Amino acid sequence: MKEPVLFKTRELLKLLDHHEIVVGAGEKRFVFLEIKNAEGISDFKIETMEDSALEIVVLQQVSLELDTLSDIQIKAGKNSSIKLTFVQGGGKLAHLKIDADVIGENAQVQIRGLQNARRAQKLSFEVNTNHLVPHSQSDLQVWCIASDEARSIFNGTITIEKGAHHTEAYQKNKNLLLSNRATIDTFPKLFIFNDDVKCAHGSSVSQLEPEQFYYLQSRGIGADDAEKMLLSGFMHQAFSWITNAETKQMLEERFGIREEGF
Amino acid sequence: MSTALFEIKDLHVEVDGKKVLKGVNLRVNRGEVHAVMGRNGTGKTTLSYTLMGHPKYTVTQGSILLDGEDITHLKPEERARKRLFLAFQYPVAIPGVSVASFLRASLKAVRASEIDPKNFRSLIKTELKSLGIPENFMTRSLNEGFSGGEKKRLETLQLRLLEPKMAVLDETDSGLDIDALKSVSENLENYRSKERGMLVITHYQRMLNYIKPDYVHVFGSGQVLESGGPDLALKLEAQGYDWVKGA
Repeated sequence: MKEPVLFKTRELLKLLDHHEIVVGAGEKRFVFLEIKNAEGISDFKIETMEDSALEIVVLQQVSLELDTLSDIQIKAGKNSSIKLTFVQGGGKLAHLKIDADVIGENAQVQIRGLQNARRAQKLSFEVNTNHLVPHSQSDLQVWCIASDEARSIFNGTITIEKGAHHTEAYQKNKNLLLSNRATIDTFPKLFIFNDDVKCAHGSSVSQLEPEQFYYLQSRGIGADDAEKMLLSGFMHQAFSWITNAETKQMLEERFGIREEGF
Repeated sequence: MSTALFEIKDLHVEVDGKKVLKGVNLRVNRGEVHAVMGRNGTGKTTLSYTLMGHPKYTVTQGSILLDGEDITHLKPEERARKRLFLAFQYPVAIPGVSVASFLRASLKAVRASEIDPKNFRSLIKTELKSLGIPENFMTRSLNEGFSGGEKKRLETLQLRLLEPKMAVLDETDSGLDIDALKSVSENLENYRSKERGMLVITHYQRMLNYIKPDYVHVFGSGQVLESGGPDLALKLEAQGYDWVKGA
C-alpha cells in the first residue's frame, strides 16, 4: 500500500470560502451544497442542536483542471441526527476532509460518500469520526471508483474516547478498480479507548464482479450495457437513501445512473 | 426424426483444468419436461452453467443445439436472446440496481425492442399478482437481502416475462418452504406449453409433484447414467441412488 498523497495547502490557498450551518433545537432541515468551479479551500461548519435533524448533500464537482480542498467540521448535539451524502467527482487534485465530533448523547451521524476518480485525477477522502460521549451512533459507507490513470484515496478513522461507552460505530469502504494503471489506497482505522462499544470496519478492492456480469448477460443484457448497469448500481448505493427527490434525480442524471421508477 | 427443441450431444466440459462433464447426451422435444436428478457434486450445476455459456466452463468436446442451431460457443446474452433461460440456484445480488431497472433492461434486450413504461407496469403487475409478490419488490435492489423464497419467485417472474422456449431450472426448489415451493412450482407448471421445453435439475421428488416430468434422468460422474419415465423419480425417492451403477 502506498502512502496517501499529501496536499500542499499553500499552493491551493487562492480562495477561502466559508459556510456555517446551524440547525436549531427541534428543527429539521435539508441542505444541498455544490462546490462548483472553486479552486482553493471550501470550509463548512455544521452543528446540530438538541433534538434536531439535518440531511445534507454535498457535491464537490469542480473542473478537472482545478485543485480543491473541502473541509467539513461537524458537531452533533444531543438526540440529533445528521445524514450526510458526499459526492466527489471533479478536480485535478481534490481533497475532502470531514471531522465529525459526536458531542451529544444519543446523537446519530450517518455518512455516505461516492468518489469517482478518472483520467489523471487524484481524489482523496478523509473522514474522522470522534465519539466523545456515551450512547451515540455513527455509520460511514464510502464507495470509490478509480479508472484510467486516476488515484483514489480513502482514510477513515473512528475514535471512541474514554467514557464514550455504548457507542455503535461502523465504517465500510468499497472500491472498484477499473484499470491496471489506476491506484486505490484505503486506510480504515479504529481507535477504541473504552469498553462496552460495538464497532466494525471493513474495506474491499475489486474489479467488476464476474458472477454479477454473467447474471446480467444470462438475461440478454450485452457486455457494454451490463458494465454500465453494474457501475451505475455501485454508484447508486451512495444516492439511494437521499430523501429529496429533486436532488437525488439531479445526481443520478449527472452520474449517468438510469434508475427505473415503478 | 424432427428437429429437437434442445439437444446436448456428447458434451465434455472442464472447469479450471478439471474434467467435470464427460459426455452428456440429452434430447428435449417441444412440449417435454425432463428432470435431471443426482447427488451433490455430480456436475448438475456445471451442466446448467455450461448450457447458459458461463465463461468459466470450457466445452472441450460436443455441442449444444437450440432449435437445431449450434449455440455451443455463443455468449450468454446471445443464448438468452434466442430464448434460452436459466433459473439460477443462487441468483446473485446486485446492490444499487433495482429490480424494475433490471427487468426492463432484460425485456428490452431479449425482445430487441423498447417497451413503453405503461405497458411495462401493466405486464409486471399481472405477474406480481400471480406470484404473490408485493409491488414494492420492484424498487428494491436486485436480490439484495432477499429470502430464498423471494429469490426463486423473482427467477420465476423473469422466466414468465422473458418467455423462453427452453428453460433450465437449476434446483429451483432449494431454499423454499412448503408454501413457496407450491406457489413457485405451480407457476412454472403453468408456463408449460406444447411449444416449450424444460429441464428441471433437482435433488428431490417434491418439486416433481407439481411439475410433472415426461422423462427423468439420473446424473452421476458427469454423465447421464440412467433414463426413464416419471416413475424413476419415485424410485429414487424411495431407494436413493445406490442402486444406480456409477452414481
